[in-house]
Amino acid sequence: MDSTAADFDAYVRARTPALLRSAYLLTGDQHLAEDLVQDALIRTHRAWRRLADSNPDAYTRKVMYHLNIGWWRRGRSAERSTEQVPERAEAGRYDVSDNRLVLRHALNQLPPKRRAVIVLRYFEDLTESATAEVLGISIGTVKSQTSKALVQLRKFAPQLLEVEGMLR
Amino acid sequence: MTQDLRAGLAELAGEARSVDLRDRVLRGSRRLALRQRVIGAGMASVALAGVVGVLVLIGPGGDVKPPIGSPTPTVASPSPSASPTPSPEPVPPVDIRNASFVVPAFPETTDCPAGLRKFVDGRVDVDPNASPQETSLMLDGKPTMADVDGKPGAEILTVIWCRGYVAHGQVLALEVSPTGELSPLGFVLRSPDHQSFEVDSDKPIVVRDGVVEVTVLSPIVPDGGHYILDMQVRAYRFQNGSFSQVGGPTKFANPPSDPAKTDMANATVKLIAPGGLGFVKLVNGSGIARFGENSYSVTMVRSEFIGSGEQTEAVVLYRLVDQVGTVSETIAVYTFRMSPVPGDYLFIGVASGQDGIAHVQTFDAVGSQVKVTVELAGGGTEVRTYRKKVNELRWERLS
Repeated sequence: MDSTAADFDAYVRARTPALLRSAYLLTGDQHLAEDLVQDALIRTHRAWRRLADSNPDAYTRKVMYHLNIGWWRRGRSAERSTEQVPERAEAGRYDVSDNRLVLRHALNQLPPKRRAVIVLRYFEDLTESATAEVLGISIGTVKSQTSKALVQLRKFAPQLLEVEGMLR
Repeated sequence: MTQDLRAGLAELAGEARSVDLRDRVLRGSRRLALRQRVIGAGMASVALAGVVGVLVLIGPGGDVKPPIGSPTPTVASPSPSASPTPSPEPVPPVDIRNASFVVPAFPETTDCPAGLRKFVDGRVDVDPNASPQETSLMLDGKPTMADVDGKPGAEILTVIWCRGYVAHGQVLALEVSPTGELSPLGFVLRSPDHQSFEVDSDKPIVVRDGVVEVTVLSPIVPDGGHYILDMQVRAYRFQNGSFSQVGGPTKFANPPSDPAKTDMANATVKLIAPGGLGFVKLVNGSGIARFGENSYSVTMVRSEFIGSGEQTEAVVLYRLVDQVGTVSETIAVYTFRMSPVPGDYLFIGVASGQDGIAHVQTFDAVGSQVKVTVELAGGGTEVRTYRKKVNELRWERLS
């Protein structure tokens, strides 16, 4: 294995866990998340030589978010979660964290771009300008999409976003 | 403000299981290269008819071979067991993640009956005609190859999940024929209490002298719930046509009737760290946490119980040191509301890197409130007060 291949291997193994976490929030499903990260990394692999002197992570992230929106447009993002928040796992076993169920349900209601904005801003902690760069949209659109997304989230998960000043 | 949303997203994202995508990525890249080559060839035909500039459609320099790290024609065989057990005969390399074999009926559930399954990238839907797809079989962890039945040829051992609304984990032993065909030898986890525990697929399956050692967690945790657990290594041997337990504990201890008597310094707990989320088994307050690619030395600094009965909560301050020596702290709260299950895990956002906090120095429980002394990222220290919201799982910062 040459050093470039080794570098790519190291990059994949170092970054996959973090990418999977973001992808999981974007898709709501482990397998879709794996597919999404895999597809993004395939494109990174194809571009690896020319990315060597730049920022492969920014490239991968950008590809991943764009792929996800494309998937959704093609109807691939089949959410498997139920419309109703399950109140209880099967008898004798334990339900999962209430907050996670509520948040998962709320995220599932968001269109992909709003969901992407939420993940970039509040999970990846990107600035508005960085979010705009990743998604290829204006900062104004980031602001408006964030605002609308938070309104929607508050509707479905008020306990997570009930504090004053949330929409700033 | 949006701290709850941030914490909620972090907690939800922690459900994502870490997998090694390297081989899948390289295979996919090769397929993409082949597809480009086909497209390029088609365009070349057009070029021969009088159109120029085909090569720029193939790629820079017209090079269509995979740029780096091309996958080998055959997929890698499973890693040899760490065991000294020799493999009597070489077996052909087999990619069980992309193979067809019979999976026996899962003993823990009716969701996954026996059947011939064709795995693609380690996954197959149990009922391909069902809509929506709700139950699947998924191979997990790193397979181990070793002789476990004493007959010529080695077996492959892999963690396999039946993933319905509740996921059930097992270890499946597969025989490999000289031509690479797979057939089930049987499920390994056969203990009287096997319905109540979970296999820890992050830990390797080890085979010593034909005995299979598997790390298991108790109790079953549906959908990645976070509980205080115990972690054990149990040993199984294939004899008289099936596996049976021959070593290790045979049951998990019942949690104390009074949650406040839980020995937090000797518990297996779920924990969020800067690089991930996973289990850590503490022994006398210390343990090593491996969350995907990240590893931490974890020390329990302080633990206090507040409330009583099912309203009991354990507040625990952990110090984590990563591979390069970076020190961080986090406070975890474990609830005991679903007695007798010892604890659900809550991340309350008091941790290094959160809300202006550089380090968490200590805390004191005063009634239903917790006063936390933090070192601020901008310098100086501050005492912050938190309390649990009445009849909710959430905590709030008061000052």
